[in-house]
Amino acid sequence: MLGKLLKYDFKSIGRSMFPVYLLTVALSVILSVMVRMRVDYSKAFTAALILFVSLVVGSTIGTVVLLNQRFTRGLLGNEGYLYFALPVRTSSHIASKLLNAIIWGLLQVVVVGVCAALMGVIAGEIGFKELIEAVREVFPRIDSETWLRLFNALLLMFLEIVAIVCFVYLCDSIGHLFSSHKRLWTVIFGIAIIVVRGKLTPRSLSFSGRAEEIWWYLLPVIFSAVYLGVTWFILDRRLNLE
Amino acid sequence: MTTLKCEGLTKNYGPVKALDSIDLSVESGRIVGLLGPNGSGKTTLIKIASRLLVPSAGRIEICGKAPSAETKAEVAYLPDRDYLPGWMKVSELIGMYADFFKDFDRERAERMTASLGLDGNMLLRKLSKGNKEKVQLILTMSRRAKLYLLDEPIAGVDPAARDYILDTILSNYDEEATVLISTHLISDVEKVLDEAIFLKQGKVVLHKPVDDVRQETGMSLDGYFREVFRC
Amino acid sequence: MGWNFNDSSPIYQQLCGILKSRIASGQYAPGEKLPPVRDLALEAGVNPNTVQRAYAELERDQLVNADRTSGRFVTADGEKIKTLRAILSSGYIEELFERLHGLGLSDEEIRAAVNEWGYLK
Repeated sequence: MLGKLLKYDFKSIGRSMFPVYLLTVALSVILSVMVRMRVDYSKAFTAALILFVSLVVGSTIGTVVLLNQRFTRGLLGNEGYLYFALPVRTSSHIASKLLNAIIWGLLQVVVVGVCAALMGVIAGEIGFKELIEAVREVFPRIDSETWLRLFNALLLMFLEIVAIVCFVYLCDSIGHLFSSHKRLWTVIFGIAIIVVRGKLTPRSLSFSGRAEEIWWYLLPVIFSAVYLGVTWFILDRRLNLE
Repeated sequence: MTTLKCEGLTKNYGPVKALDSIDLSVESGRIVGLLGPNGSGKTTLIKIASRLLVPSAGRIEICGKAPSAETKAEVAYLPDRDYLPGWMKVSELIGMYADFFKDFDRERAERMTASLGLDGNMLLRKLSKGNKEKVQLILTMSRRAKLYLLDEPIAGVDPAARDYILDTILSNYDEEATVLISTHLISDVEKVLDEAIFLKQGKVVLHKPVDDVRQETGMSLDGYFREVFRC
Repeated sequence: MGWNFNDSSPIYQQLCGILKSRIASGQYAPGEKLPPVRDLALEAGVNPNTVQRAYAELERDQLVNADRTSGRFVTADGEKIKTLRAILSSGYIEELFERLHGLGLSDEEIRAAVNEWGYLK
């Protein structure tokens, strides 16, 4: 059942996300071609950079908003009557929305990477050969410890992002509990949770990517679990569709 | 088989008692009317039976089991609202129902949409209100469920569509299933009902076969309802 | 949709009455197979259990015979149908007399009016 749910949620997000990604890639190509043709080299790079940053920000915000909409509309709006009538456990609903958020989030990163490469090649006039040579030179120079730190940093970033998604879902669910001023309560509780989390985060630890600092990784995992648990409770025991 | 059983079922919204200690038992092979004015608790009871709400107190059993993801597979719920995603096509919705519900009769659903002159490729948001409601009904009635919960299936619908809906309910009759129709348009559905439940301010004030009501009061169900609920 | 029923008596009784009329008039011929419960329910726009109850009454009055496998059949017994016709007729006649009494006519006047009506027709 979870698999089926994943499929339908994936398709339903896809129909709004796909055009956005396509547009982002297309825009980055078009605009970087324009930049290359009009402006001299040094300015082209700056222009391309600004372009790139705005595209990344734009599509990221788009992704975030759309993913959140899928949760609020799909489960807490009218469509909730459809989804909650399916013979599926509440935990599966949450899992499907979360996993889809992760998948589409990663896809977003891939799209950004593709745009960066395209813009580099087209606007920045970085040749493909030169790129490969640069990679060949740099990679062997990176020792395994640095790789590990890089990996750990990415892992931590990933865990934090997952925690943020769970946090947003929790805030939406809390907002659902109120019959009026839902958004207001969502924001209030959101801030409250951030404050509480801040108080619970140990300041003494500093992060340097070493494997021993397990507490840094556990923190987002624990918080995600708590957020998801409370979200589950609200959706399973306190659901009140209008 | 007892498809729906409530014991002391209560639902509070803060100080308001939407359902006040309901005791109820409904058998299969019956078409039952859940009747009462707006705010009497009809929708609340239906939502609890389909597990879109949890009770504040008391018990409810669907075919002998507490409401769960499992019982949702045996319950077909038709809400009193526009709940289907407008961006989906009719055929996609049929596919989705077939995917999730083992008891979904896909052929029947396709036959019925065809007989309405609807193309499976039509987007839901492009359909007229009447057609959208008919599609919602078709999806619900194409399930071979044990308990059908129809919340105001004929309200806000023209008389011809009303006939279509009641015809569909009758031709879908299953001895193993119960159809619970919640409505305030009693004279339209009376002929179709086996039993009537009157709900007043969250309490059951009547649960009788319609024939008995007519025999004992000399009035139609509609007439008797007006008496009981006189303002 | 379906047939019309009045508000005052249980629908299965009224349905029974309609079926009896149809049998008496020959619309359902002797020995003819009656519609299955579901079909009649759909045609009349009533609950199938209501049809079931009406059929059960007809069976009890021996106007209808049920064969487990093939369904329900109008009785082939001409005498029973004759009796039915007589019962229904006398019911209508009684009603006629009641109503005309209500208008102030005596039995004699009623009979005379009926004869006259018959001739004019």
